[in-house]
Formats: sequence, structure tokens, C-alpha cells
Amino acid sequence: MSLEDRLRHALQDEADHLQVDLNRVRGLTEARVTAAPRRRRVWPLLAAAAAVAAVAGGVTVVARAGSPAPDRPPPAAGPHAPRAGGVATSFSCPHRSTVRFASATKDLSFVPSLEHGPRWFAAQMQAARFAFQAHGDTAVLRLGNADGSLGSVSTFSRTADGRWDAVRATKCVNGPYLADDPHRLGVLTSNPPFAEHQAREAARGCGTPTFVGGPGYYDEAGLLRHEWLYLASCAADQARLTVVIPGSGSVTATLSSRAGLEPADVGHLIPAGVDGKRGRVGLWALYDAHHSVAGLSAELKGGRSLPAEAVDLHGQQGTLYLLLAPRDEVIGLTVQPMRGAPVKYSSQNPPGYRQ
Amino acid sequence: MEQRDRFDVLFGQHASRLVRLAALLGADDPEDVAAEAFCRLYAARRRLREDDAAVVGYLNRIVVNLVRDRQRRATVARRDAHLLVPRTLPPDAIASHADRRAVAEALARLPHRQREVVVLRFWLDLPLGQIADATGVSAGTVKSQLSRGLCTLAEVLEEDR
Repeated sequence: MSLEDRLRHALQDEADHLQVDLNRVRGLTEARVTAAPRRRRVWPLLAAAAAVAAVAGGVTVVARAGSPAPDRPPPAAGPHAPRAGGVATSFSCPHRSTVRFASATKDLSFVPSLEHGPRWFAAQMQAARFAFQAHGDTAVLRLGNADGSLGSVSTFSRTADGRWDAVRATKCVNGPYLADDPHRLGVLTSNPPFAEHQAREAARGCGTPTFVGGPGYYDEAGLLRHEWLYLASCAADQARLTVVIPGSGSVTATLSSRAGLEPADVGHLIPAGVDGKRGRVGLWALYDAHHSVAGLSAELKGGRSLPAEAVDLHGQQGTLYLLLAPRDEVIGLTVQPMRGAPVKYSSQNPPGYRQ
Repeated sequence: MEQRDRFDVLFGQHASRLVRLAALLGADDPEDVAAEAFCRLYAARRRLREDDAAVVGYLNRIVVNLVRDRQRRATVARRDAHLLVPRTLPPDAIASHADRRAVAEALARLPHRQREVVVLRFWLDLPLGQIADATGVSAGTVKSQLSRGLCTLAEVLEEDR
């Protein structure tokens, strides 16, 4: 055998004997591509809530799965580092708040710092973009989203010893429907890379998860984030609704079509602590395995009505109705069956809201 | 095909191969190298052409560079790091594959650049031009590195016989 052939055989043999853990490769890639914001403090609360939540109204919090976020410094350099420039100078978000740090503020959820430079801080906040300008003893740091929209503006002043002190910060905050308008839930974004893999892990034992979108929300830095919702149909007329937390884990709730026409309150899947008020925004889900439901809607104060998003599970049985609304605005929920009179539920009778 | 779908397809098609390539090049953690390569591919996905061959060449080049960088750092810390990763050669497998072991050990003794061209040539069967692309040198340099590598391997393996 020639040396070349010997090399070919030996290298092929060597390669064939290597055990490749593709799940690890995928997990490592996923964690880096969709690295979770380091300061997303709402998610541990969400996980804790999921862990202790009781079975109620056809909804069972099943599990929290996934690997922890990678324990490594934020990417101040490299492909996921924040990009300098390209940040809008004015806000496009409808709701904003300003914190003045010189006063006795109790809101310390977002305290900008230039101790290690603007890029470092932008990386800490997982901002896609940042812009920094200094004029004399004043500096301005803008953090932005990938599309260039402005998330926050922080103003600093220089101290006698040359440090930069944060003076005030204005940032995007969540409105009654978090970051979105009420009619966009479920069609918000495309399926994020690798979140599907996490959803598949969380839905083990059920069918292939279908991406159903999910609400966008502003984090503590005013940056736009998304939670990723997936639904997979399971046996016995059940479906598993999974919220994927990129790079961190997932929270699931099992919906039962056997609950009939009663929508389930799955508000615990909304990031807790968004805008500092847990439970302010409600999320209701109704899984219809047999196409017996024509629609779900919320009746809001002032005589308004808000229809639920209906998501058909492609290649699987059933339809998911999702309704996101501010709880204090909701008077009741109405389910319209395919046949018969509408069934109304009142917020006075939680959790099923049956009237 | 959407970029994300294409990315998933590329991952499915090439992840195992890239891990094995990194291992044969002597990476300490070949799975981590492959993951990093896909991260870089993901970051550059909008700039990539539709041509899959170009993407595969790009992935090969990333892996070669990543292994090279990591070995350079490891070499600074530990000058005798020129050995194949023990994980890739479990003892029982070594015992049953004496020739593989001999070749692997001979390969591990090669300078990094020679090892790269030998692996790319005889495991991936890449032509000289593509090896040059993956290693960032000219085709002439690839040819000379390959020639030197083969000479060294011939000597070492002949001694083992």
C-alpha cells in the first residue's frame, strides 16, 4: 500500500472512530448565536414562577428545560459584538421613561456606566448597536436594536477625578401590550435560529413544535427582545406550549383541549417583572384539537373587543388561540363555538373566567 | 430557501465533518471549534453567496484558522502540545488499529502547516487550489508543504515498520 493510500485509510479510520456529540455542537452554537441578555433578570423569576405554579384550569406547568446561559464575558469583540454607529437619534417606541440618577431614584434596573468604555457596556446590555459622543464634560451613550431603532439614551457628566457619572437615562418601556400593538401577536417575527431545537427538546414526546411567534417586550435597557412561543400537539388532545429563552432554557405549559371551551390563563409565560409590574399583562390560550371553536376574543373597557390570534398547526391537528391584553382592561373573554351560543367568561371569576 | 433554513441545512450537512476535521487538525475541543465556525458562518450569512461549494470552502477555512489560532495559544502555554487529542484516540481503539495509531502519531509530529495540508489533501481529498484557499497560502506553498509532510511521514512510518 502506498503512503498516500495508507494516509487516506488511517485518516478515515481516525475520523470514523471519533464520537461526535452533535447536540453539544448545536447547543454551543445556539448559545452563541442567540446569547441571552445577561441582565435579563425577569427570566429567573419566570422560571421560579413556573416551578411553583399549580395546576389550574387545564394548564399544567410541566418543566423548565435547557442548558444554562454560557458563563463567559459578553462579546465586546467578535461576530456578536455590538456595532458602533447606526443608532437613531430619536425614539420610535410609543412609551418611554426617564430616570434621573442624581435624585433619590429607586429605579436601579438600568444604571448606565462608562467605567469600561461604551462598547463594553453595550455588550453587557447585549445591545446590537451603540453610539457614543463626548463633548467636554458631557457624554451621551445611545443603545440601539439591530434595525437601528433607539432603545435608550444615557447622559453622563465628568467628575473632578475624570470619571463619567450617569446623570439620566431615557429608555423605551413596555406599554399595555408590551412592545407591540394588540393585533400582531403570532405574526411578529420569523422563527429564530436554534430556538426551534430548544422547543423540540421541550416538546419531547409530542409532535413537531410549530412556531407561533410571541410578544416583543423592552428589557431594562429599553432594547427590544422577543420571547419565542412554540406549540406542539401531544397525545390525548393535549398540546405543549413552550416559551424558549434563547441560550438559556425554556418554560412549557400543557394545554388540554379537554378543558372544552375554557381559555387557560398562561400569563406566567409572559416575562415576569416586565416594566416592574408582574402580571400586568395577561396571556390566555385556548387549544382546539377538534375545530369546535370559531374564535376567542376579549371584551375591553370602553366597549372595545380584541380578537385572539388563531394559529393553525401545520401538519398537525388543532388550532391555538392566543390573546394578549392588559389585565386591568379586560372585562371578560368570549369563546365562540362552531355551533351554539357564545360562552362568556368574566374576569371576576378567575382563573377560568367562567361567567 | 430562507437564510435560516439554509443555515440549518448547512449545519446538518457539515457539522459532523467539521468536528472531525478539527479533531484531525489537532484541536483540543473539536466540537467547540465546529460550533464557533458555525457562529462565524451565521454572522457572515448575509455576505455569503448562494454557491454551497463556496460556503463549504469558507467553513473549512474557518476551522483551519480556528485550530491554528488555538494551537498557537496553546503552544505558547505548553510547547509540547503537538500531539493528537487523547479523546480522539481511545485506548481500546488504538490497540485495535496499530497502523492508524502510527499514522496519527506521525501526523502529530508534523509542523502545523504540513499537518493541515496533509489532512485536507488525504482526508477531504481537496485539490491544491482549495487547500490553498482553506489555509490562506499559495498553491505553490501547499505543494511544497505537502511534499515535505509526505517525506517526513514516509521516514517516520518507515522507521515504525
